[in-house]
Amino acid sequence: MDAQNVPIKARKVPGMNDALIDMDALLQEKKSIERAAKLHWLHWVVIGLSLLLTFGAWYFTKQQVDEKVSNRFAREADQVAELIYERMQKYEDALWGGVAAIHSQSFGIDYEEWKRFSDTLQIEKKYPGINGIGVIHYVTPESMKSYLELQHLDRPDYKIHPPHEKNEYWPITYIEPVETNAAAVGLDIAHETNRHTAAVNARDSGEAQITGPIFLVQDAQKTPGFLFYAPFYRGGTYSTEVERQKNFVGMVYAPFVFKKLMAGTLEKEKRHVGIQITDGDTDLYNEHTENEKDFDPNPLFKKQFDVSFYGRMWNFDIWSAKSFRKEAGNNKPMTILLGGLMIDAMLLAIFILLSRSNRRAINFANHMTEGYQSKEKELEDIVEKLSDSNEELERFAYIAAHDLQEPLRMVTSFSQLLKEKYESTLDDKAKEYLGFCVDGAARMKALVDDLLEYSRITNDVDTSQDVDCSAIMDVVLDNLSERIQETKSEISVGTLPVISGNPVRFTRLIQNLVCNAIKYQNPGNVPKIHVDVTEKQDEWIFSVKDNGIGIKEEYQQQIFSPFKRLHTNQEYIGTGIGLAVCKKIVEMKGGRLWVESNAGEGSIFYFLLPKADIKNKIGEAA
Amino acid sequence: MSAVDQRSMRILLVDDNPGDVLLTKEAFGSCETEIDMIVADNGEQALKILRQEGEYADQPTPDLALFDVNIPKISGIELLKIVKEDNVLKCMPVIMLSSAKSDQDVANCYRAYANAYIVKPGDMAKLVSIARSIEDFWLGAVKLPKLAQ
Repeated sequence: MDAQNVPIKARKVPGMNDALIDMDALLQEKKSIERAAKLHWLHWVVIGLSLLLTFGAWYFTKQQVDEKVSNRFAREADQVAELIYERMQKYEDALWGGVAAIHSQSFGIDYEEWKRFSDTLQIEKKYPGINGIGVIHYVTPESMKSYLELQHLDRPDYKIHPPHEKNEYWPITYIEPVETNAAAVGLDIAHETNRHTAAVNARDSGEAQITGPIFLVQDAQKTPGFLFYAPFYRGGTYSTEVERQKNFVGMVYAPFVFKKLMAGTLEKEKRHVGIQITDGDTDLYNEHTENEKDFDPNPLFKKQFDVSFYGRMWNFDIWSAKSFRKEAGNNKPMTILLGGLMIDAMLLAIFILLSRSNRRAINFANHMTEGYQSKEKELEDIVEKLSDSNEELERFAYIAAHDLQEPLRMVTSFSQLLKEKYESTLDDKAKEYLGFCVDGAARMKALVDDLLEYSRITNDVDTSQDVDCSAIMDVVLDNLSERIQETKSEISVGTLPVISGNPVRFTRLIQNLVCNAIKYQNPGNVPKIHVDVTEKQDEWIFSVKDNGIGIKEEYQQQIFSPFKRLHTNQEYIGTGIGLAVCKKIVEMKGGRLWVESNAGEGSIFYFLLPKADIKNKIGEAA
Repeated sequence: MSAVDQRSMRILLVDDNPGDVLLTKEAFGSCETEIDMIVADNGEQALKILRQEGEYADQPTPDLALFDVNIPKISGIELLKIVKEDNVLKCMPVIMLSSAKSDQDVANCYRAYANAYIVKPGDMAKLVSIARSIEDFWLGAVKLPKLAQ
């Protein structure tokens, strides 16, 4: 069979390519979103910068705080020395006050007067830290006798002690309050180098001087202390050492127990440093011991410096105490650091969460896309299958119709032959049967021919050529001339264009429509038919108008289906393929065929052909 | 039909459909000329007849051949090509018969030098008229060569 010769064209699915182009754009978009879903280097840079900022802020603040704390310690340390110095000045003033009191008496001061003076000073109240205030006289062996006599006037028990080898005496004449200093009364300070050296220095310099560390005789606990001397001379003050030595009378002095001095000077609770003061190798005061409550074995700060005090060099070694840590403890840098790190962590968390949610969105989109793609694939498959099955159907129809022809020819021909040759020998019944046979075969032949024609209509654009519709119309009128004459049909034709297409098809299209218009008439009615065309922007709308029987609205769609008939063969002969063929021809050209009709009032069949495939040559054709 | 040669004409019909063979014989039976119709139901047999081989050695060669396009073994068109490539046989007119009117088939046959292409009609009257046309033209109007001489 020649089924393989039937032109088969795979139909393209409109919009499919567009969808693919969109998919490309979507894939591009998807890639960029996927990039955004990963932690980008920019994220790390932001986090890195933020960390840097945090550590920078922490370091800067810490530096500032450390500096502040360090300054505070330095200030406190300096304050210790200053306070001690101030205190010492105050005592010095008291000593010089004593000197002034002595000078105010022309013949030296006696015990009662000194007592009064001392009482006025209110030592325990105003000068905490000194044990008392007293007077030391310089006594030579020659003046010893008169000195003792003078003292014995008021205090018969008065005696100088302890004995020593030196040829001069520096006895403590008075000391107030005497009750707590009894052991010191009459003590000759020349017996001991420390006391003596400072006394000599005071005498020679005319300035207040202190001794090196000593244990006071009146201090039962034997803690370090010192004596503070202010010298006085006969007839006032002198500028040279020789004059001072010559006119030297004695000294006003004050014994210090260092512990008491410190207690009176610097309240421990108000400072946050530990103090060690040494004079040479001897401790004057030491708080750097485990016994101290506030002792910090690993102090934050240490400071050591020497201060010259009334002829002595005191070494201050100052450590920050435990309470200093508490006082100076500044949480600001740590707060900044922790806060900053928390912010950084949150930043990282936000980035991670963002990228994760982005990833989730992408996954979701991917799922959707996969679904879409599989749906699209399904759709493509369905379209392909449909297309295949459509082609198969068309091929089947063609082959069936083709193969039907031969047996049909046998039936037709032999029934005719039978009728021709043997009709005379048949009875009436046999003749009637044979009549049905011949008629049936003839109708079947018409059907098969139509079916073949219908299945042969395929979209073969290759055969497109200029078709002059006016010329086609002439051919149609010629083909139908017999019918037209028989029915006395009046056919009018408007100006028709030149289009692009298959002339055979277009002839078939017009002829079928005109033929129908002639055929479907009420008996006795003269058919009046008008063929015309309306030009639109992109299309031609052809119309074939008749004055025939018309079509009820409910049948207006059905009539275009193959083999759909509204009438019996007794009424109107036909196979019901004509309009289906027309519809297929029009649709193969991308057009549309429809009817407007009212039953009994004639019909207008319209078919629309797009110009895209049609050359507008109406002018040339005219 | 005075133009028709009074002598009998020999026609080779190649068709595997006995119905068609019978119909064709009936149609040519109504001709005035005495037709000696020899029938082959496949191409091989047809070639044997044409080449006077085997059992056909003594038989005269046909004056005209009718090939159905659609026959078993060697198709009608192939048979036509063999005949038209044969120096002796190619002088014999070959009329192709087909139940299909595929444009492709028609073109192929003429390209292979078919002398005519006839679509088998579904109507006995038409078939008879075709037979008479063939008789009038090929057996009357036309002077045919003598093969194998």
